[in-house]
Amino acid sequence: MPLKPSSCWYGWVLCGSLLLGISVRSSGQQPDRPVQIAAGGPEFFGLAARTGERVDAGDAPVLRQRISLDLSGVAIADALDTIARQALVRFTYQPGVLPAGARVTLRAQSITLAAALTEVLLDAHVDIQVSASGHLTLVSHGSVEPAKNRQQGARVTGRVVDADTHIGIPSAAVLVSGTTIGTNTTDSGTFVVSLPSDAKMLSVRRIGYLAQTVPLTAGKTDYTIALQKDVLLLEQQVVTGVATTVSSQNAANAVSVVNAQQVNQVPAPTVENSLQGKIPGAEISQINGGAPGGGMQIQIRGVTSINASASPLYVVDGVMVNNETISSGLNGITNVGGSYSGGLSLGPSVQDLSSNRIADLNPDDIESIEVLKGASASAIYGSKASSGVVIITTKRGTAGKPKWEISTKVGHFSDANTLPVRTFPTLASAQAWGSQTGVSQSTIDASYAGPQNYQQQLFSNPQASYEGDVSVSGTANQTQYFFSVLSKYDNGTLLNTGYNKQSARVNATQQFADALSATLNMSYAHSLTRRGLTSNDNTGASPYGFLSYTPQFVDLQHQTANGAWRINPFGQANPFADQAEIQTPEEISRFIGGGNIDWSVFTAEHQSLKIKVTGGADLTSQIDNNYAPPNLQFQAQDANGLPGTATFQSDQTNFFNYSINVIHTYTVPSLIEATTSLGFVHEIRTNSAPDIVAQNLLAGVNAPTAGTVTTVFYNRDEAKDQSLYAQEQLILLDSRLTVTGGVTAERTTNDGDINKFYFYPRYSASYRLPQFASFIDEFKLRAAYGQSGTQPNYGVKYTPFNTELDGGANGIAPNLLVGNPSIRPEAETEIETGIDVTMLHSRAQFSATIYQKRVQDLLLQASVAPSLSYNEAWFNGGEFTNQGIELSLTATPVQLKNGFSWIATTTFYRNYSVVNSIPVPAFVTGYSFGSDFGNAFIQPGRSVSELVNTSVLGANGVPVQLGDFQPSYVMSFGQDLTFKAFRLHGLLDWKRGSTTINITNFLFDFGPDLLQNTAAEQARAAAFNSGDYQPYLEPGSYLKLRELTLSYSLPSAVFSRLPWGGRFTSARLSLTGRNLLAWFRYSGLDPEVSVFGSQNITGNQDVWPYPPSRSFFLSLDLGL
Amino acid sequence: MAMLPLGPRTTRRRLVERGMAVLSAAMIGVGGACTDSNVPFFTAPTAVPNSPAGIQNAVTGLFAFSRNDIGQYIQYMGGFARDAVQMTNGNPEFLTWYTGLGTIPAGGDGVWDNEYRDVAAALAILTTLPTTTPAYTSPQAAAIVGIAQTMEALNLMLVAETRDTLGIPVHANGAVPGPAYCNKDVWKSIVALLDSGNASLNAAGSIPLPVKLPPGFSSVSAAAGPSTTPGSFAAFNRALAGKAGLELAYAIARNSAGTHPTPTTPGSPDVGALTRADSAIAASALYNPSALTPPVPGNFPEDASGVYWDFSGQSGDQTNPIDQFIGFFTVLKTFVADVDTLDDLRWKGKFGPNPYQIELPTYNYIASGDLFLFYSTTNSPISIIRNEGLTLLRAQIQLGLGNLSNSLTYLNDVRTNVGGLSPVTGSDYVTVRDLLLKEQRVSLIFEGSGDRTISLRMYHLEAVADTTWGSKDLHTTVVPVEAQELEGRNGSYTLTCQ
Repeated sequence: MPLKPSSCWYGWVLCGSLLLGISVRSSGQQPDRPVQIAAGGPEFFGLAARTGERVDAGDAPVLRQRISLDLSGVAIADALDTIARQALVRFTYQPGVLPAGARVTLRAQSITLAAALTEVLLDAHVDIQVSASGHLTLVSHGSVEPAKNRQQGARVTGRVVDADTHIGIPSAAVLVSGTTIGTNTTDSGTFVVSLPSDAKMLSVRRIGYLAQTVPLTAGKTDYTIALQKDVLLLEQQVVTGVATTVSSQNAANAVSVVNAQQVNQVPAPTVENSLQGKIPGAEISQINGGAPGGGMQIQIRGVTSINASASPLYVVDGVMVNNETISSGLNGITNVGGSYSGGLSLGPSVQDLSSNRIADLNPDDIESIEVLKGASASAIYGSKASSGVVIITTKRGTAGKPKWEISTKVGHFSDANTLPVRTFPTLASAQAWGSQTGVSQSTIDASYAGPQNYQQQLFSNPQASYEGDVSVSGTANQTQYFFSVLSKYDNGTLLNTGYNKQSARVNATQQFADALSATLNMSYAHSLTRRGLTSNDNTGASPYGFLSYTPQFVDLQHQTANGAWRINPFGQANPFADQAEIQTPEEISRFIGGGNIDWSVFTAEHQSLKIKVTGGADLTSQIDNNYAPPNLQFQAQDANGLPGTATFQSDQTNFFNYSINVIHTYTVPSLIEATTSLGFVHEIRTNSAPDIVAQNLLAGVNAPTAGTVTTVFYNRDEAKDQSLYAQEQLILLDSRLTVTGGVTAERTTNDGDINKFYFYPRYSASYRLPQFASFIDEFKLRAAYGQSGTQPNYGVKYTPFNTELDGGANGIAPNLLVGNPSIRPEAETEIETGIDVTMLHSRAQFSATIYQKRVQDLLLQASVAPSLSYNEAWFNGGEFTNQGIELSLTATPVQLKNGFSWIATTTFYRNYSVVNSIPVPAFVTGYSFGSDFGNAFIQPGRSVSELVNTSVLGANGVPVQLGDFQPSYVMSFGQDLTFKAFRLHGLLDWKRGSTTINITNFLFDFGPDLLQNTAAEQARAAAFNSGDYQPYLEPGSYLKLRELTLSYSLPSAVFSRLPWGGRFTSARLSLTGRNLLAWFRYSGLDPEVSVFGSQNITGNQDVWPYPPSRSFFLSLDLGL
Repeated sequence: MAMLPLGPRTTRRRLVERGMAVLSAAMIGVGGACTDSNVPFFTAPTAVPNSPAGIQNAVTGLFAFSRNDIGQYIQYMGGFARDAVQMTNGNPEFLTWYTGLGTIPAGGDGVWDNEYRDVAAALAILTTLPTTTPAYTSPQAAAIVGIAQTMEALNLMLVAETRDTLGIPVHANGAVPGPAYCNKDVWKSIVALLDSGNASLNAAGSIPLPVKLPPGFSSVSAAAGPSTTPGSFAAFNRALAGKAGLELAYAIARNSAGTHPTPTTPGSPDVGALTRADSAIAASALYNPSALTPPVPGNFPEDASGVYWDFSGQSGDQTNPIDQFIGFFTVLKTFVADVDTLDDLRWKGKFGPNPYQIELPTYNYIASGDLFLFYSTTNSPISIIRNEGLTLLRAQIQLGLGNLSNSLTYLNDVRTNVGGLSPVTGSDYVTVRDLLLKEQRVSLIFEGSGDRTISLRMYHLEAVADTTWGSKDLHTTVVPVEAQELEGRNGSYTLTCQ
């Protein structure tokens, strides 16, 4: 059938746009002259979305691009490959569509793609279907006709296959377009669907593949549908509510979804390590240096609260889970909780080097992680959502027979950096040092044992790390199941430290009837972490503290025959003895169980009503038992005469939550897809943490009862939240326009008024422009508005009396921090807008988002003049604003026929904050070591995270900004190179601009000149003493090679020869590395550090940290 | 919810479906209507019971929490006096701040907020007292008033002594910050407060105290008054009044209207204040020159000659805050130079050689090889005021009144009976003053009264004493007003001086 060159094939697309008053421009080129078509050439057609009828596509922009060809007697398939490379298009066709043995010859300069295809496919009896995004599908001539008068209940069968391998794809969703009727493919990719009378197309979706729409042809009952791999992850399901999702193509917010492969590119201590560099808008930092067992902080779109919790909300399979950081009680030994007044506080401290509990998840169980970055996306989660929501979905069962995946990894964590500490190669050099620093020659002579390298000796734990994962998934008797077990061990770089973890998971979905299914997800994790004693301490036992006062020439590893350790003559501790004998086990037992019941109350052709009940419990037990025996030097020399310390803390943190959701969907093909949802959510969180510190222990007994002085600390809190929500989601205009509106009403017992509901609305819209340029496949505009909150911490509404014993009697005194019985949540309002552009026939995607997040009604601990008898009071007031931009570009710059492909991903994130107003005088906030080193300071007109010295005043009498805890920007660069069976992946993570406070240098500088550059030490100390407030403020910028992987998929011919090899369907060998290289100007071990753990503002403080580590792993992954 | 036709189906099924939908919505509505019960504060009370038991708890709390900053007070005042200082690698600023080798940051949590909190706690007792059920008798109520006012004054004394001429507010209330007074008016207020408390205690008479006090106050817990009766709380009040009166006398002299002492001249300390101070000490049963004895190594005995902050390792109690760092409290060379280390029993009882390598060798040039070792356990009490110190205060008062001979008598009482040394003589102001300072130094190091630092200021010696530490020697003897106080006053801290 001859084409009509003047026809406008995309008129059907324009219709919707014109309805909205949106103009569509052409590619900017002059219209090509009509293509002269030979009689036997292909017909170019598209499918009208509303009717499914063929429409002329001969003038599609993709066909107007020009190429040059020099083909001589090549097979048609090869000719198409050549054309595809030049035109940056992909052809999809089933085997047998092209005439066998046919060859073509064509030499032409600058002809249109339409002309080239016409010549190459002359008399090939094929037509070309042009999709809206520019995909070209070759079909047999005349095979696609509009379906008419199909009999109600007619059935079609078919198979969904991978377009490259032609292997069947299981669990692909096959849906009759415009209806709720559909099914999932079987293990071999087959499907059967009953068609309504007016069915016109099938839509097929599968995670990891580009969705495809296939027209139904009259009389045809069997279809083979080939799906292209979604290498750029263009199509994913994005959460829009407690029980609703939408395709990422329609999402109205900046979407960050990380899939299982991305999570597990490189073995990581915790899930959050795996996310570094992969979420534009998130700053993900390690807070415990290289300590085993993790310890990370995720901050999304800047500081979201000054005083309340700023951790994102974590939701795993619909269950809100615990990401608390429970201090281990190590302070009972390190005594860092005491103020410099000498008041001793032995209870748990933020400086205990503790880990946040999302570390308990097994990364290998994760199917995907979606990050909702702010109120505009997460308002549905109410007052727990202003810092973002991290939604984790674990793996489901797959259709068909059991599939096993076995993964084994062996590797090692090693020290990534050392400080330039002075060495003493000769006795004379040691004596010279002694004479400079006032140490007697006799002491030097008696202790000199040749040059030592304490860092290497302490941080060279030779243990291997390993990990074994086994999982099986499948379907049996209407039950889809996924079962996994994990056993792993990560060695710490410090002697006698490490992280041991075992976990198991069962996910099962039972289909009771067509309308009723239930899913149960259960996981149990047990871990034993030994982090040792590092970081800040007031006993001298921390290794880098020891290095600051002990010259490297004493043989402190020496033990006598009876096991006694050598006494350090230069200070109060021998860290070799400490690391050998101090015990810091932290044992976690955690059960997360949840499930949901999905009941399709009814399903009609165009509408359905579902009730979804979701609930779960997260029960975490953390037991810390820190022990420093009395024989250790720093304990024996304990000036208070209480040698030997044992702490025992048993923390129980329990979360319970459930929701009841009603979801109604209504679909009219090409007109509307409406999803209405409403629900009720209830959550209870409890924590109980008794901590016992025993001192003056019996020798050899690690028990609180073995001490003569016992101190008890106790924390207990509880919160209960209720929320109601309603949401409407509309997809209109051939799925081009998506509009969502909703509101959540929430109340919590943490508020002053526990009966008052606070309302959190959200609205969003996205519009996918029709193709208007040949190189653009899709251009989406989106905008979203939302409000969320940050609820007060437990107890803020109370003013508890302090209690203290004196003479055996308990006394009470008012608290210095006064509660507020009217306290209410912080209110966050966020507006974001952006674009998502898919280009070059799905070979590149660009996203840009700008946002403004205004946080009002801040939960402030207002400082008052302490002469009022209290020094702080809780109240609501003031506001600050975050504005930022997030960019991401993913592209396939090279994709060759020989199997070589290169995928590059770049992200950029910049956030700018400003304090708009506060109803109190400017004030210091957060943790610090005193104003000499800088404080976070809240004052109007300045960054919320600025760093000042309150003694350094500008001309206007306010403190001068000396730095900022937040970075100027964060970028990442990911590269994936694939060539046949080989794959190379790399990820660079770049942070620029934050300030890090280097207290480690300060402590070295005031010691006996033990850094190599003693002149620099002395200069810094002198400057500091003379009032220079900046020698310990350093740039915290860094560039790190976060991930590097080289993997090789063994050919079956190889692994089938191995024992049991015949049972395996796949085998991959990988060599991976994490944090292999780092570049920074910071003079400490690593600018990515926080002695105070997870902090809203005042991270970036460096005191004798656990040094950063790098890791290597060799992995073997088998499938059967 | 989108309302559209449900399509062909039976009426019965349609009703069931709609019924389920309605039921679901109802469940959601019911869920939203059920309010969660309030969650109490689990680990501490949020109100004071209006009963004698509540008053007892508040009184115990007042005494317990008044100890909170005593460790910091002692380190400040001991460092300013250049007696001994913490030398730790972990916190080198403790040396530089406390000795004046570096600037103390304004933001440092100095002796300030806890003390004002304690003042408010004392006021809260006075507010609650009239409404207590069952009611106290009038003498009992008067005794509690006297106790509360005395403790209020003691807390203000700690703040005033660390700020000296910077002045402090003297009233804690809940609305707006009260005015900051100049030093002499501060001390006038404190003396007046102590006098008021004494009047209440005397009004109560010799009744047993209606509240139980901590063990460190056992020497003054037997009765309310009068002060001359051993065991009366008024004896403690008068002892404090003597110290406060002395400080008032010199605050008046150092005021712009007064005649300032100089390093070589006595100035004109207020005679009236000195006289009243002398009378107050003389009226205190705690003052008893005949009971002066050498120190017993290891601890203060909580006997009848003193009042102490007591500590213990019991869970929930405070341990001795100096004992914790005792191995780091290096005695400074300037201190050792003032002491007869061969024969002085005080030296022998409280000091010993440092068995450890000195940390911060950069500062070896100021450190001796000895440590302060007196507080031997976490239970060791710390003196608030005691006979030995009161005797030296009388020596100071007599020196201020120009009675050199009397001054020598008192200081020799201490020197001979406590130090086991021969008496000393002197015939001029400077000689007697310096002799007094030496006795004061070795007698009262690291106690809760800050005597030597206070004396250095009185005699205007802070700029000349022990200032051989190099060009960068600030020799600060004043803790800055806490930054938060300034911020809470919008940066304005203007002194009111009458």
